[in-house]
Amino acid sequence: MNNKMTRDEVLDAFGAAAAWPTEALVREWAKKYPEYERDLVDFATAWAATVALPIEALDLQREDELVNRTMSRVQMLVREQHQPTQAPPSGETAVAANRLQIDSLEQALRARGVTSPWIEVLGIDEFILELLEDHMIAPPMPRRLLDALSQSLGVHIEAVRAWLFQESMPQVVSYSAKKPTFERWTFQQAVEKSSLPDALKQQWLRETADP
Amino acid sequence: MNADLEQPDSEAAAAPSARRPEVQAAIDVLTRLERPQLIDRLRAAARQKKLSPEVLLHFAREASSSGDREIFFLAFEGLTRCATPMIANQMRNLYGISEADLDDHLSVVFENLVRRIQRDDPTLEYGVRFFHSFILRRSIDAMKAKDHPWARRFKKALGALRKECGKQTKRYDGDGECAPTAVDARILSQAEDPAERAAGQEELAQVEQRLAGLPEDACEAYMQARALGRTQAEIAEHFGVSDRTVRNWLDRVTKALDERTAP
Repeated sequence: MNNKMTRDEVLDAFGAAAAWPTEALVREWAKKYPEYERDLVDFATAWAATVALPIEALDLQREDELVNRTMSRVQMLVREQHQPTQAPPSGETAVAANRLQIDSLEQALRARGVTSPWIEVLGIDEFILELLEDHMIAPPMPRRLLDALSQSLGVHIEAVRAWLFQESMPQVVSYSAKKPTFERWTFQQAVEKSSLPDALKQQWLRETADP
Repeated sequence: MNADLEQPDSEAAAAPSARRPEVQAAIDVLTRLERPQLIDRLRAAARQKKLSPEVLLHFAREASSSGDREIFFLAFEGLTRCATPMIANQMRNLYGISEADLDDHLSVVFENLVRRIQRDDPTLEYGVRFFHSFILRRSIDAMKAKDHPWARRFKKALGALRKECGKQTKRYDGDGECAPTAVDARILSQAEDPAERAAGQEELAQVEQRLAGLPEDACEAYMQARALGRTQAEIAEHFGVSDRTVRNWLDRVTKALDERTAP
């Protein structure tokens, strides 16, 4: 881990610094991390409001319903984690299965219980995810990202490649006689334009591209 | 606030190691139990909310690392029971989430927590320190990541802020049960007088009604001034408005809060 804390690290550490936010706490942290002052104040306001609100007990039946549903999902996640790793399907089978299953990368990730912040699970931000979603990043791409997507989605890496690098089909109508062309981004360009912290950007840019 | 608390080791970007003494004491007591006794305690805690969420999170982590599924599920169920009313209140009162979306929201928040536990994410140590703010962060992240129609609604919180939250906190003494913070106690406690709770809700609803015509930014600005001691200049900068606008907002909110609802 580097010495410069990310926004999420700062906010998590801030939240762990006291039982509730006070003027002194907010001033101290805003002074220490002026670049995140707005985020700190926004979070502290929501935090203070939550602390102020009385906690209404849930109707027991409703609480049971919510807890049981959560626990069923948790059991499924834990079972998935402990299942022995299956031999990866052949590229062709995986691609065929993938075409049927993935309409949206984000929805597919969520369906597998992988939730944002994406920086924590995939090392990318919303901007890069959107470009991936629209098939707007051209190969090559770092192997680490392909592996992370493959693992999170539970599909073969070839299926991930096939999905990401399929032709982009922008939903626009062109009245031009010429076929419109859409320039794809390189992964490096996407990283440079992203809101990732500098250290993470540098790490991606250093990594060997997917062969 | 507990004056003994140390700030996290933020400079090195490392997770804080200092746990609250009462949390660590409860963990130590439970760790010394034989496994069957620990299971009994966790089972009782899951239903009666007798252990603090920080303690339950610690045992969920430990059990996940050692592969003890029974203890993991018991600790996690206790955690879910503690956190669900808190998240539900926050999302209903502050962000106006629908009941259908609440189900979905809770599943995203708890899946996030499970995945952090599974990979033994170092940020969990923040949750063992103060679970309330830790889960609040996860809830806000989940809310922003989804397409639920949500909007800030600080009016009810202002009403609550105006009243002193002097509710009695249940003591958790000895035998592994700790004395929680006021916030934890409110999350854990289900034993408040229903009549008192209903009266409090009615009063909050009246305050919310009096504030109804005011912009949300005005209410949030008041919250920043009152709860966080932000100056008018700081608030103006935060919202990108003039000092005069902030003054006007604060005056209007103060006036609305001081009004009495006609009998």
